[in-house]
Amino acid sequence: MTPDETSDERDELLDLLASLRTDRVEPDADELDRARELGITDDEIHQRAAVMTRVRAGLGAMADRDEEVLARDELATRRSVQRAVGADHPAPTARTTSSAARRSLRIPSPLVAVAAATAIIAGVGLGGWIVAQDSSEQLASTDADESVEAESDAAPPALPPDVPVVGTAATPDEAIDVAVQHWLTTRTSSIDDTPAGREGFDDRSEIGVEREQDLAPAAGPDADGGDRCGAPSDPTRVVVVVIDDSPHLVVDAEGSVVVLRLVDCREVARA
Amino acid sequence: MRDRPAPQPPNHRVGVDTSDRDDTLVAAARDGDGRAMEQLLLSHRPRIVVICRRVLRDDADADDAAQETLVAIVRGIASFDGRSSFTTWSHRVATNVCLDELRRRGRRPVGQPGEFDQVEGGLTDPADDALVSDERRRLAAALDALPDEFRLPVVLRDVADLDYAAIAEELGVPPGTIRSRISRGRARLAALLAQDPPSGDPDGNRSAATDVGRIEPP
Repeated sequence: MTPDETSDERDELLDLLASLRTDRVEPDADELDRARELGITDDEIHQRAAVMTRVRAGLGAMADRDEEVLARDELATRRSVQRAVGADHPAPTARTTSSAARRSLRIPSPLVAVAAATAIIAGVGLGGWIVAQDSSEQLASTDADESVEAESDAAPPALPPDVPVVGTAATPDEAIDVAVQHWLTTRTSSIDDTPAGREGFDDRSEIGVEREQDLAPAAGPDADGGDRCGAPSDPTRVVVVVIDDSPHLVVDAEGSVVVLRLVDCREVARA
Repeated sequence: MRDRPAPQPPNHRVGVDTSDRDDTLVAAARDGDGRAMEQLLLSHRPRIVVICRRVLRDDADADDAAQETLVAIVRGIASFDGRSSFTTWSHRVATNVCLDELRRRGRRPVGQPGEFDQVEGGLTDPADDALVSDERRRLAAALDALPDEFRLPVVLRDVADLDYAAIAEELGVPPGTIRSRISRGRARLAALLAQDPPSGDPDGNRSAATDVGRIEPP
């Protein structure tokens, strides 16, 4: 072994012994014997361990700080946890809300429903809203016209009690934001890859603008033959349904129905 | 050869003992208490996200992996046998999910390493002063610059707080190799940081990260 090789070996062994000491792990007898042969002293190990410890401390402090920043976003944390707990569901589509998992498992995008369901969650209070996620057949698929017909002809079904809750909101408008934000955080990669997804929905503010535009008075009759209304002052129902790559809103205001980009949804009623 | 204890890292929160509280919540969660499960996940999710981000170096993938981890915890809590702490177990679940994701990566593009350290609205904390933010970025950049064979063991040891045996098992390499890779990874980190020391703090304040930046090369 050349002097350089011996020096390299000594340095690596010194690093190893220092790293083990940092982690309070005992070296092997062979390693200790070799250290003696190479003349490595305890003082050297201690000094090098101080360096290793500062590296470990720096990484730990960095992770702690990152953790604190993440923990401060309580809403995101709560939504994520509620989705995870809600995802413990036997239906294949509810296996996970992870887009990575959906990519690999080809799980369809979830339906996201916003419902006035004051009785479901304690603490929301009268007039509060919940945002609930359902990826099963509880929100059956119909086309736009069928949905409007259903709205005018029959009472919509109540929000099933076991639908996972994504979040809560004080107003319908906030509820839409919660639903849209939920969609943004659970969308599939295919959404990211579509020009429409990138241009229209990557940014939350753009969704807001689009929603306001869609809520403006629209031409054409509603299901009852009257004019479609604009933004409702006191909607009793708002449904946001995510189909493939975009959210679709249905707003019901005092008997009038505004269908926004509706492709596939079913109303969810006040509980 | 005497065995002096090395100085211990300060403020390393993964070392905070929450095991009693976790044990109670785990027991309740295993009995079907949804609120207990939520409490468990609420307290552990931030660190899980941190681990996923440090392993995957891509925000979106890491958030997905963290979500997948939470779901796996919910589904697997009944099989958690308590031989390790819940913290360790959950970090191992996160590690497994992340390693699966890394294996899938060859089939699609990924983001730039360390992007979440620089993107506004990411982990950059507005409460940080410029110096601290710079230190964190430098440390993160040095970590990201490590080859995976060193970076992953260091992250699993110093961020996820897994022991050597668990890291060896997760990465599928012998424990002796893990010991060597962790030591070499830390040595490389120290050397990388020493190459580019931060500008001086006029007040002479030093944080842990600043100290790392001022380490002399071994």
